Amino acid sequence: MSETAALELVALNKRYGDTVALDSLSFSLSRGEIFGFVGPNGAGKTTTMRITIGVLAADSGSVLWDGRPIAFADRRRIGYMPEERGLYPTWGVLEQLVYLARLHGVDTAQARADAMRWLARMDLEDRATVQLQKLSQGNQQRVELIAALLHAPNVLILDEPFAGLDPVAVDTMSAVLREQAAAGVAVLFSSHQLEIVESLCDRVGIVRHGRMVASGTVAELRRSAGRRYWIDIPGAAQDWTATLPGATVLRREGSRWLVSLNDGVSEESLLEHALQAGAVHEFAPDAPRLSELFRHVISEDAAA
Amino acid sequence: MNRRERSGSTIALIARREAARRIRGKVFVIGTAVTVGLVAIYVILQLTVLNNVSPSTSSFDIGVTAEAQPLAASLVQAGTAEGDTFHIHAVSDVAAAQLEVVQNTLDALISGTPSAPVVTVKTALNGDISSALTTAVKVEALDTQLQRAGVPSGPVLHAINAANFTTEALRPLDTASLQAVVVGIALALLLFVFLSMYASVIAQGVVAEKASRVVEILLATVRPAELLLGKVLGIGAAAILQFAIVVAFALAVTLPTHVLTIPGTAIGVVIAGVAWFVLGYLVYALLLAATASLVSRVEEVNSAVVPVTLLLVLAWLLAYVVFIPEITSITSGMPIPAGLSTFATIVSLIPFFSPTLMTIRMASGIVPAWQVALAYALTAGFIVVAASLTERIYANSVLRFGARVRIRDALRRA
Repeated sequence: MSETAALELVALNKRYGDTVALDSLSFSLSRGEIFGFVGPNGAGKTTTMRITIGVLAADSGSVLWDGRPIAFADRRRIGYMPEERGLYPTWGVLEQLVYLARLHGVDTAQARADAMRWLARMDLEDRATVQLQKLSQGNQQRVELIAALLHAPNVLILDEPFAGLDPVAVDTMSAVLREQAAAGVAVLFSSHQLEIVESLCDRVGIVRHGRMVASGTVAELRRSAGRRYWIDIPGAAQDWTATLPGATVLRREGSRWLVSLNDGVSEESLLEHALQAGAVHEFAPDAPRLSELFRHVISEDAAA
Repeated sequence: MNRRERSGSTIALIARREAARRIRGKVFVIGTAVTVGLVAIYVILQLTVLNNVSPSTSSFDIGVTAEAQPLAASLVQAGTAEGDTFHIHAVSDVAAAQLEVVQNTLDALISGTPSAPVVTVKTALNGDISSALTTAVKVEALDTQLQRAGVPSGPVLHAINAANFTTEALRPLDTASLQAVVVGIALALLLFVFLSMYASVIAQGVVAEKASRVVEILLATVRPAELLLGKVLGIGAAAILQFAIVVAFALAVTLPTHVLTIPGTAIGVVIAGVAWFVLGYLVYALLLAATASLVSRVEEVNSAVVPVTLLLVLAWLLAYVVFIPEITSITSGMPIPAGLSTFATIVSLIPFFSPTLMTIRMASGIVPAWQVALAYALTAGFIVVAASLTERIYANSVLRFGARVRIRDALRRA
């Protein structure tokens, strides 16, 4: 990487008693990049984020900021939205936004002006003086996002920001994250909604049992899954691929077969073989969805 | 800005916010209103009911029927000898006079014959009236007998009325000390009430931030010690302001109405009481912040802080052990039994109990200066130790959600 990573996590280890939460987990995050953090529940995503933000200490490993160990002052430049949401339920919306921004070192007038601008953006300007708990769940989540953004952070760390949002709110959240990244903010978020991760992220990391089992751009992850083809041959024999070494049937749906090829086998030889098996109605390369890759990586890891 | 300065401004920001929210909150407004109301009721009771039970001015209005009229002059004379003033009102309508007795415009109505008069009172006969009337009736009987025997009664009656005795108290009641102790007890009670009230505010405040999970956002930018200190100082500022309002109100209504005539020592007691309130607040606020941070739900907080609130209740109950013997000692002039005195000395030096007990003991004026100094030093030292332990417990447990954190785990060094 030519540019220094804004945030770099190096070989983080964390145990809770006998449970290993993080097992030498490493990855880095560049300015302007959106990094999607996926993995099953309990994989260590939240632990990683809490260590990065500094509310939890790692057993070993380090968090680097611009190439040096992160300091308390650097952490104030992070915008954080924890998994378990929470602001002050009985405080007014604007009141607590200004207070939280001030704790991050923003002066009152600036915090107030920025909070009103963000509330307007989220269609919440008329709720500025309302108690937070009187807002709907989705609107509370919008306020929490504003709280994470108000001190103009360099890094955004959002734990499940899309959970529980309606489609309109998902669009708003996505747009804000894209904007922030375009402005040079490094964005890290976790999600179980893999379609969102796929469409939004520059890079994706898949964690399992505290280890980063795969990471890269969505395209890279897809390539790593191998070359796969959907072939529709009505009336083909059950074992038509058996005579082609290096070809494996991943799945069969009626007369459609999903076949993966090893490196030594060419696309042409597969097509040739298919034509011999019967009339080929369809022959199409398959780009696996992230969700499929996810299941694939997770199960592969389990088998290993 | 260096780290220390920044930390200071963060604590100030948190403290100001906490104080502002408390002062605008229900506990402050209602608490102040109720306490001020109680003080006002006490003063009104003192001025009306209690004054009637033991009047300081010995002046009586006595209704006397025509038949009993010969007693009037002797009554006034006997009263004067005792230092009482009797205003005699001639009564023609007995029923009307009885009504006046009921309405307190007359203190007593005397009817019947001078040798066997009937005294009509509302509830019970006042001791001063009784003794004056007893003398008057006896003088009247003697006068009648002397006249019957043809002896001039004047010099005899004069000698009877002039005969008197003086009292020499070996251990006179020290009203100034008594008043100082009363002020001390009132302050200790106020201290207990306020500590209990703000104890729950601190505990609720800590757990509310944990329960709503906002603490995770806060601790992403603020150190646990800053958050803890800001909270304790901010709520403390509100508590001291409220305490000062109530004490100032109490002094403002009791001094001009003479319910209390504060001598110099009592002013000192008030100042010491405020100082002990500050120290007591810090002792209990730290202990409560630490214990409250162990739980994650508001419903659990009351059971979590029971050990600390029990100490607080004990601090009030022990006050009885100290002030009852002291009051007895002042009123009876007898020294406090040695065992009890030793016990009071020891418990009043324990930091949990010093705030209430020392306020009372200092009020009585019999506590040696070295004990006061030692109690201040021990309490201040305890606060320093408690602050560092509380900081560790709080930092270790405030982000552990779910089951109650065990104190042993919370004390582990991070």
